[in-house]
Order: sequence, then structure tokens, then C-alpha cells
Amino acid sequence: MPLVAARQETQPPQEDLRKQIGTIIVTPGNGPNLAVADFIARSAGLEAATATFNQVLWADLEFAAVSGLVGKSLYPKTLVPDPASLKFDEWGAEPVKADYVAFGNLQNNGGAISADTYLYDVKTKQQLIASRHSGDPRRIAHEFADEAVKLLTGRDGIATSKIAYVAGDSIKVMDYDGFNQRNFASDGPMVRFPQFSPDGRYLAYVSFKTGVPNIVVRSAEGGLLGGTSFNSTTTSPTISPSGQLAFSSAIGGDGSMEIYVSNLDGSSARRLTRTTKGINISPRWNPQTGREIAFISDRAGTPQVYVMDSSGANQRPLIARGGQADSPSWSPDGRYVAFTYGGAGSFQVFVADVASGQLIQLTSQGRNESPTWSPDSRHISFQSNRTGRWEVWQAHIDGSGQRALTRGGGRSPTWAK
Amino acid sequence: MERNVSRIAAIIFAASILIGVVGCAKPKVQLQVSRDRLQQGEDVRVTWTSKDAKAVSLNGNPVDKTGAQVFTPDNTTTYTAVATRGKKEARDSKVVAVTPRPARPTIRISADQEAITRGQSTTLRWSSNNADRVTISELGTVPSSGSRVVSPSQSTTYNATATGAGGTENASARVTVTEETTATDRPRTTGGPNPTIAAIFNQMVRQVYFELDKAELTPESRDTLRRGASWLTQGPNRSIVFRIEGNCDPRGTEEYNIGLGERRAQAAKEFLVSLGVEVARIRTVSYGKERATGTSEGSPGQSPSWAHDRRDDFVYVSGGTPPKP
Repeated sequence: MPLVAARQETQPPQEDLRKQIGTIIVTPGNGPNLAVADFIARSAGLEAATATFNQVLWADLEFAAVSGLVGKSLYPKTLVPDPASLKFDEWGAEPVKADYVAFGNLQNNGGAISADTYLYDVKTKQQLIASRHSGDPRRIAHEFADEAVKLLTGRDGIATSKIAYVAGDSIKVMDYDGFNQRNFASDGPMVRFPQFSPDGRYLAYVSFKTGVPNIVVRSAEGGLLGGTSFNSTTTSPTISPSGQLAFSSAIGGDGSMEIYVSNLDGSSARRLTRTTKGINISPRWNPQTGREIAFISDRAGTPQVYVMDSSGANQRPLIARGGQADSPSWSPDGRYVAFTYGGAGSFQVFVADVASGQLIQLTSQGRNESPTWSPDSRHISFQSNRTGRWEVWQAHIDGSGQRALTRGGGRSPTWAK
Repeated sequence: MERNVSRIAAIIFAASILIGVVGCAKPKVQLQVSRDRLQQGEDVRVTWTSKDAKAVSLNGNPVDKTGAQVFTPDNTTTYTAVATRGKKEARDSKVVAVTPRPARPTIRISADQEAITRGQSTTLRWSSNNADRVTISELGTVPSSGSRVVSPSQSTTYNATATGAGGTENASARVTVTEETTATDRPRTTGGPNPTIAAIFNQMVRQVYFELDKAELTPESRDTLRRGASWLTQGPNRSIVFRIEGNCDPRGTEEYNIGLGERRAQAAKEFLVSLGVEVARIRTVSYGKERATGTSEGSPGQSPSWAHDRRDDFVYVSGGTPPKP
């Protein structure tokens, strides 16, 4: 008891969560100014590829929100295909006032497209990046965007990350911006609830192939690695940083849904929760520490977000405010838990600060559920029915920048490196 | 001096009256709509006339002083014409109510087994949305969602058609029937699902329904299950293996509803076991809200409805002896 009191006294005053999150997303005016000059096609026939590259690079850096992007209409008229053409004064002065400028060119090297990519500090005239990327124009734009974000922030970008999701009765994977949607797996009549491992190497999901829902685990390349084969409903897989599986199942035989941990192939299953006729579901491993599991339990009435040690000890509510919660998702840095919350057919995505328990609401249009975090813990993807059907959407952690990633239907996104 | 002041005052007074009457006459505007009620996708003609106006705007956009425009509003819209002259303004509004276009029907149909041997049966399952009428070839008009055990004697494509105010949609499921190979010397009473038994099972072991967000059996459900259990514990029926499939209405969230559906299946299983049905004969599955088709509460007997969505289905898997002919 004295320990707790002492801790409270020495703790700094609680920072307002909305304010704290507001500093994570950089908007024009509250960070360095970045200018991104149009890249120039140096070979004939690369006009379309260059247009794609420019569009993707801009979209990546805008969504990355690590700097204020200076609008292209303000740029000097002189093209900047290479460092020799860069006039620092023009880019540093009004109206551009850029702190950094990115530029370069695309060329055709024996049938393969490559881009020479540059980033300069305008004030110090220092070269920060001079690199070459080869391949598909979308892909190399993503690579350069990540390179620029890494240099500006010291942290990995998300432009080359991917999102798996449920489309109809199969699982698809797409680029983080919704492009390149491709089939990943269709096991039997219905697959649901995909979850990447924290390192993105494995994907676990639920398949109804045998008639009883069970967990399937595949490598990110699609190879079958294992899964469970129980006789009762087994659902909601999550994978720990060290490659253990947790899930919810009725295998206990006492009529309740309880959380279990097991090896990745479902062997050595050990029960963590023990309730009477309860529903304990939607476990999610803390991807940062691997030592805690967030989950949903109706042990106190309606389903709420709980946390326990991954040994099963210390089960406690994380958020208890009535209503119904589901599908918690721990941010990769372990600071936040996003979850679905609502009731009476109306649900929204909320973010809770784990340390302080403060909440903010991220969405308000239509129903919004099943959040997942970007690898850098700064963005969220979720499912929304605001257009009249479930689609996968994306937003910044402060709720701004909401955009649809799918058009043909999508649910249960899971985001990985 | 005094005279001069009063003369100037008189001139200003007269001038201000003049400006009031001529310079700033209050403008007038009138707005008409060709109809005040329409369906999404239909258009409406908005016409307006004005008098003494310097500028006219329609819903904030500058327009001619008198004119017409055609709109195709997606939602109920108020059209407002504003005529201004200096600081004076006049406005006229009409509301056009837009009713949503009827949603296109959707239909899904599948067979539990896409291939069977002649004499075996499989269960066709279908669900639809926004349909007034659903027909399936071979079966005729059917409820908007449901299942039916079929035992076609040859390969059959079941074409399902959903018709509603929003149009027509089709879906099909094919069941391939193959000849029995080694079954001639095998007694028909053992092994392999039997259509007759499955059909009788469906008659004797009926669906049970649940209250909102509850997995407890109602008194009616207990009665239904007692009748089922007394049949399941008779003679050869004791070898029947079956599946209980728990379902939820669509209002909750997907992951939690898998848990709730399983709890509903488990509640029925536990009660049947207490009545003497061996636990090894029962498998439980939750479909959560995956099969929900309701859009309002309704009643259990009425599909689609939320009350019908919150149920356990009982599905024959294997075993039993067919009745003697």
C-alpha cells in the first residue's frame, strides 16, 4: 500500500492522451518541411512509370506524416533530375521554405526500371541520401519513401509493409496502401480472423475446413506450418514474439470458451483462464514484451478488455466501462491497446493508453471494428461498413486521414512488416 | 448658418428615402421543384425566378437571376435560392425527399458435400438478403434462408434465384453424384450417411432459439430438446452422431459472437447429455453471426429475423438404422 502511494506521488502529471497522440502525427507547421520534386524520366517510354512513382512517393510521404509536405505548386520551375541541378537558394527561400528536398530520376537499364533517389538538407546543403532502387515503380517508390522516413526520424517507415485481411471466404494480402491485392489462402468453406506474428513471418487464422473451426498457421509465403485439430470451436489465434500460439477454445468440456497457449502446431495446449460458463476470447499477445496477453472476457457481465501475464497470472480488467468490447490489438511498441467498443449494433474503434487507462475514440461513421496497428505504432487499419458494406480502412492514430483500402469488401485486417 | 444646416439635413433625409425606395428595393425570389418526393437515381428539376435581385445563388452557388437546373440527389435535399441586393436578401426553399433505391438482393447457396455417392445425401444451405422471393430449381419456392437435405439420383446443379425490389440475383451449387463402387456387398445399414435417417433426424431434433446476448436455454427450448433426446436415446438411434451449430444475430461483434454461438451450442449439448445422450455423439460448432440474415427483431418462426438468427441448428453426421420399408 505505501509503495503504491509513493509511486503516485513521484509520477509526473498525467499527459493528456489526445495531446500526446497529437505529437505523433506531424502536420504542416509542426515539423520540418519536406519538398518532394517530381522525378524526371530519363529514358523514353518511362512517362507512365514515372507518373506512378511520383504519385506513390507523394502518397507514402503524406501518409507517413513525419514532416510537413510543401505543396508542389510552390516549387521552382527548374527541374531537378540530379544533384547538379539543385539550387539550394530557390528551395530554401519563400515560398517553398523547405528544410529537406527529395528528387531524382528514373531510367531504363536494359528493360529494368531503376530510380536514382536523393535527399538533401537544404540549409546545410548536405547530401543525406544518394541511392538507387530497381524494380516495379510502385515498389521502388515505397522503398525510397521508407529510406527517407528512416533518415528523417531514425525509425523504420511503413511503405513496404503489408496487410492481410478476409475477403469473402478467403484471405488476401495487399500492400499497406491497398494496392496489389492477392490471394493468400482459401481453406475450406470459410476462413476468419487472420493474425500476423509480430515479426510478420507467420500468419495464423481460423478455418472451418473440417466442419469444426480450428487454427491454421502458415508462413508469410503461404507454406503450411501447423495448427490445431480439436473437436470443439477453436478460434481467435495470436502469435507471441517467440513463436507461441494462443487461442480461445471450448475444448475444456465444461461449456465455456477459455484462453489457451500452445506450441505453434497446437501441441502442449495449456489453459490460462478458468471461468464458469464464460466467454474468454480474442486473445492478443503484447508484441513488444511477449509477457502479457490482452483478451475479452464476459466474467463480470458484458464483454470487456482484460489483461493477464502470459502465464495466466494476474488477470485484471484493462478497461471496464460497461457496453461491449471486442478484438483488442496491442500496438507494436506496447504502449496502446486499440479495440472495438460499443453496443446495441453500434461499434467504434477506440485507443487506450495502457499506462494511464485514458481512451480516445478514433471513428464515428458507420460501424468500425477489428483494429490492427502499423508496424511503427502510428497508424491503424480496421473494418468499416460506412459505405454500406464492410471494407478495410486506414487512419492515423489520432483518427485523421481516414481512407478505404479495399473496394470489393474486406474484414479483419492484420498489419505486418 | 442655422438655415443652411437644416437645408442640408433636409437634402440628406430626402436622399435617404430615395435610396431606400429605389436603390435598395427588397429583392424577391421564388423557387419551384418538379417533384418533392423521388427515389435515388431519379432527377428533379429546380426552377427559380427573381425580381429586383443583384445576385442569386442556389444552395450557395451563384446562378442566373432566373433559371432552371436538374439534380439527381442521393439524399433528402433542401434547395434554397437566395436573392440579394446590397444588404437586403430574400430566400425561398423547397425540400425534396429522397427514398433510398431498394438494395439489390444477394443470395448464397452451398452444399455441405459437393460430391456424394448415389443414395447418400447432403445438406444444401442458402441465405439471401433483400429478397422477397427465393426459388431453387428442383425445390421450388423456399424461405429466404434455410437448409434442406437432398439426395439427388444424378449430378444436379441447384440454381437459386433471389428476387426483390432491387432486382434479381442468382447463385448455384452443384452436387456431383458418383456410382457406389464397393457398396454392393456392404450392408446398407452401416457406414455412410443415410438420407432417410437424416430426414427423420431433422424432423425429430429441432432448432432451439435464444434471447438476446444469452446462452441459457428457455423453457420452450428445453421442451424441444427433451423431445429430441427421447428420440436420440431410442434403440438404433443411439448410434447417431450429430453436430450442434450455434448462431447469433448480426448486432454484436464477429469474434465475440463466435464465443456466444459456441456457448449456445454447449448449452444444448449439456442439456442433451443430462438427458442421457452420450457426449461422444455430439460435436459443437459456432458460426457466430456468419449466417445471420435478420434486419429486425421479428420472431423465431419468421426468417429472416434476429429472433430466428439466435439459434442452434442440429445436423445429422452419421449412424442410425433406416426404418424397414
